[in-house]
Amino acid sequence: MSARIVKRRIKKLLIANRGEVALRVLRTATEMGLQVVLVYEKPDREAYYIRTAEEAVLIGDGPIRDYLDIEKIIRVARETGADAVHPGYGFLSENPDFAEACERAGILFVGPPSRVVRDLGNKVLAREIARRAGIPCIPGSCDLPSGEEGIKQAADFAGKCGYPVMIKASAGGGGRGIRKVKSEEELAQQIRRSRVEALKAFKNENVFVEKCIESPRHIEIQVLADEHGNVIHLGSRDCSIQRRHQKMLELAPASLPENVLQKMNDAAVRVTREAGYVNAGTVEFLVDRKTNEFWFMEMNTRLQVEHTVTEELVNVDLVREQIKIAEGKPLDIPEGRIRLWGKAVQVRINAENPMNNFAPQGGKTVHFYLPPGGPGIRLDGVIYEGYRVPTEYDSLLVKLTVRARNWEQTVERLRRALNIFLIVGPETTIPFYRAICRDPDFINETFDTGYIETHPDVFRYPEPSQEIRRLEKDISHVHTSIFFPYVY
Amino acid sequence: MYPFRVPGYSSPAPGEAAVLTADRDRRKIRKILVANRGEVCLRILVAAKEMGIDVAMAYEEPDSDACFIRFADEAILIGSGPVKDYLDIEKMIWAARRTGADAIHPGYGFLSENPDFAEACEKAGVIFIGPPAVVLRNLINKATTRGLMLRADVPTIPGTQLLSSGERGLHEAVAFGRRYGYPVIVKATESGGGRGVRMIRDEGTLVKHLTRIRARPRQVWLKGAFLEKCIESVKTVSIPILADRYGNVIHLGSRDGSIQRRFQKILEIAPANVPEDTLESLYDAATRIAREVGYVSAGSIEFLVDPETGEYWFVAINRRLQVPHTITEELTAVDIVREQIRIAEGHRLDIRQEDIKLLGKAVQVRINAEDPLNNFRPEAGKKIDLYMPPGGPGIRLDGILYPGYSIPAEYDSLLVKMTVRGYDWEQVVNRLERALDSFLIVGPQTTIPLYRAICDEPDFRQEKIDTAYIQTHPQVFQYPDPGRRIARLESFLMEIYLEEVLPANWAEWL
Repeated sequence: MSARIVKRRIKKLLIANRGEVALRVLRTATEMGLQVVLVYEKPDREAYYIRTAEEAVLIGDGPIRDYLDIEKIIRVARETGADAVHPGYGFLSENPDFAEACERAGILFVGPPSRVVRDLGNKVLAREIARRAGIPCIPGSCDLPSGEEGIKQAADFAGKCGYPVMIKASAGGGGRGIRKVKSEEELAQQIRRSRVEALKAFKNENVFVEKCIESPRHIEIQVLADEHGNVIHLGSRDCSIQRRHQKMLELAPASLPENVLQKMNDAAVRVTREAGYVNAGTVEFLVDRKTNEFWFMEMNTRLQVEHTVTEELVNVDLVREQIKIAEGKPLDIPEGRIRLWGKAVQVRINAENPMNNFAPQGGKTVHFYLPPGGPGIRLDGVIYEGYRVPTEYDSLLVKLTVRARNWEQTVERLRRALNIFLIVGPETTIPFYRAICRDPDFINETFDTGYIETHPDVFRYPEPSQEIRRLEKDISHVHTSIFFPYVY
Repeated sequence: MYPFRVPGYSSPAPGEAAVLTADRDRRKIRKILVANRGEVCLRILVAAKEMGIDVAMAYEEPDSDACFIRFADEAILIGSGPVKDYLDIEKMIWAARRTGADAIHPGYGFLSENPDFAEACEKAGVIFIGPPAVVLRNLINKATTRGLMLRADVPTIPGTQLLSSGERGLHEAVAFGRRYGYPVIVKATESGGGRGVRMIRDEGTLVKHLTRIRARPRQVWLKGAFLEKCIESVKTVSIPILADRYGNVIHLGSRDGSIQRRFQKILEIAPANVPEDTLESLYDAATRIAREVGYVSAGSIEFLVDPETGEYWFVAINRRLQVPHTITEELTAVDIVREQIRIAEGHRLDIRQEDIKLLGKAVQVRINAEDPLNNFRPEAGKKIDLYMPPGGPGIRLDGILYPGYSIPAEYDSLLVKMTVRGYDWEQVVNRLERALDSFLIVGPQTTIPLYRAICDEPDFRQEKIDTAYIQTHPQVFQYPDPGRRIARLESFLMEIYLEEVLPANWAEWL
């Protein structure tokens, strides 16, 4: 593959997202010397990351709907003279109409071509692509026709492969629109519910039925592809620890025999080629816990929340690669930069109360914030003292990524980092992760997607220990005394 | 065995042998006393905690409000200080006994390279996490060390022995200056960290300076002086090493510590930008030296290197954990403090030389509460009103500050070390620039704008740096006041803080 001369150069990048990921893209764009435009909805007007950008445009009262408004964002890009758009993750990132609108407007979309986003966004089509590439897929149906006919087809399928089966939204993602059906009696009702949920979340009520693999492991492969036909993979991530199909903790690389990993890497590269994929993407597989047999599940056509664990291991800035690929440059990552020894793990620290079914702590204010530092710690967050947890959006405060030489050291490091991580104000998921760090199965790196259900112990953590309370009190005492010197 | 005896060098006697031959001497450490203060205490704490070891910290009264002692399992007050109690060997041993610590980590500075301390620990049956006392004693005298280098066949900078006392010493100095030419450097035998070092450009000043320092009452570090030829416009390259008690020695790449002010390093880069074959000979020399002196634990061998000719000269062996160890850790993924503890426990190194691959490039800047425009005057007594550090890919922070932290007048003014990693120099500088631009410390003046100005300087961008960098690039001090953007960010955060945090607390405190 011969390298062509750079065709385009991005000068000004519009970030069509909010929160942590907007900051993540902003950081790399700044390092690359790009000008940056942020867009924001009114509830975000007090966010700190917006102030760090040179230019920020208010696009509406929101919440959420303006971040999803394709026309508005294209208009802002035109008006501000942005020649490229980065969609981050969530919101419009996997919306083929948005990618297409950018293409039409002559604005570079930092992501795959709209055609590819459309193909892979449809799970039935995506499975077809994988099959063409010779990758095993989980047995599943086509899109179910509506009404009684659909229920009949689903029942036929389930009759053949046996219960339980999964009902999934064709345009789905992020765990929404997924239902597990254990018997024929609940089938009709679950299909109806899934359709309603899918319509609400993705504006598309198509669903299909799939064989249910019990407690599989959820492993994904990060890939990079340029427009010159070069495709490389950057190793695996294990995202098995999930709560209601939402990932909570991810690690890299997955603990699997070398030959299995190699086969999966290979399969991921083949699917990427078959789809005509360009830019950074992730190929997700389900892996049987015992036999290590794997099936293609879907391909995510965006930057992933958990991309940090890959970055920590391979010393590649994925956002930078995304931008370079969008500019039409060939991949030029030398072999030596990819070191796949060592282990990294990311936890999402949310303002949620794990004891209370993860109730978001919207509206609460962070009174004190003292994050850990030292070797192997990376923080990607939007939090600061005085930060108010928004009620309008998700409650992610900061992503903590920890890296060390092996799994044992990584768990030890994660534990010590969580032990000295002080956030005073909202309840957070920190104590929950602390409890996970003490669980023997986690320490032995044996977990699958059933982990949270089968380990109720991780919710039985004590109230944050006396020790931590003392620490918080001591340090916030010193802290408050600077503003209230006369109190003491 | 050796062709000649090195004055002042004592071979390890059989009883105090530094080299163990059997694994039976292994001892599990259960509790470490940190005989230091500030940032390094936290660094040691996190390594120990990750290994399941308890940590006790000794502290002087001015540090009683510090946050680092609150993270420890135990903290013990050793006196009213300042500084003198951190240097008090007896008190430290007492603190170890009192807290039941079976090992002491000396950190850097203070007692870290003091052979008497290492010996006192050994006598008290407490493991000293560092080289054996006998090695520290041999290396304490820079003139003796130079003799050892001659024997190890490592080039040293032309220099004198310890100057004789009285008139004779003065004559020796003058004769040296005439023979090798000026400038020369006058060094105290126990100098370190830039103290006790002075560059002299002519004979008149030399005589004046020597007369003056000799007239002064003896200081802790000033037991004698010697002269060295001053080699200008070269790089200071350190080779970090790890050595266990069984004679295994590995190196961990290289570091460039050329950017210094008054012989004190302020910014360090890894790996050093010198040709591959020069690096190879430096690695070779460093591991040879470590073996020659019977070194154990983590250390680093410092050289002056002329990148043009590939010539190099031995400068010193640093016998402690070093401030810039973080850049080495970022590139190699080796936790150096963890290795120090394991070596002290009597473990063999389990990292092979082949495992050491330097991944990309890293730089560390020391962010001090000092005013660079005012001759780096420390901003003692000031308080941090607002602290908003950068994050994201490639950023590591080792600091002790938090909003409300007050800068001690009694100790050094280091606030936080920022380590930035990337895959090549260009990306590292861009990342450093980005990180410094979003680094908010409101309260004291800091060295942040100086580093920011260095990022803009073309020679630095091309990695053309040598020991004279700060002198030859005075323009880096001509930075404007922190920009309007920063001021805007500050006022924004202060507003939020006043609105959101304070009202809730008002009620609680009144």
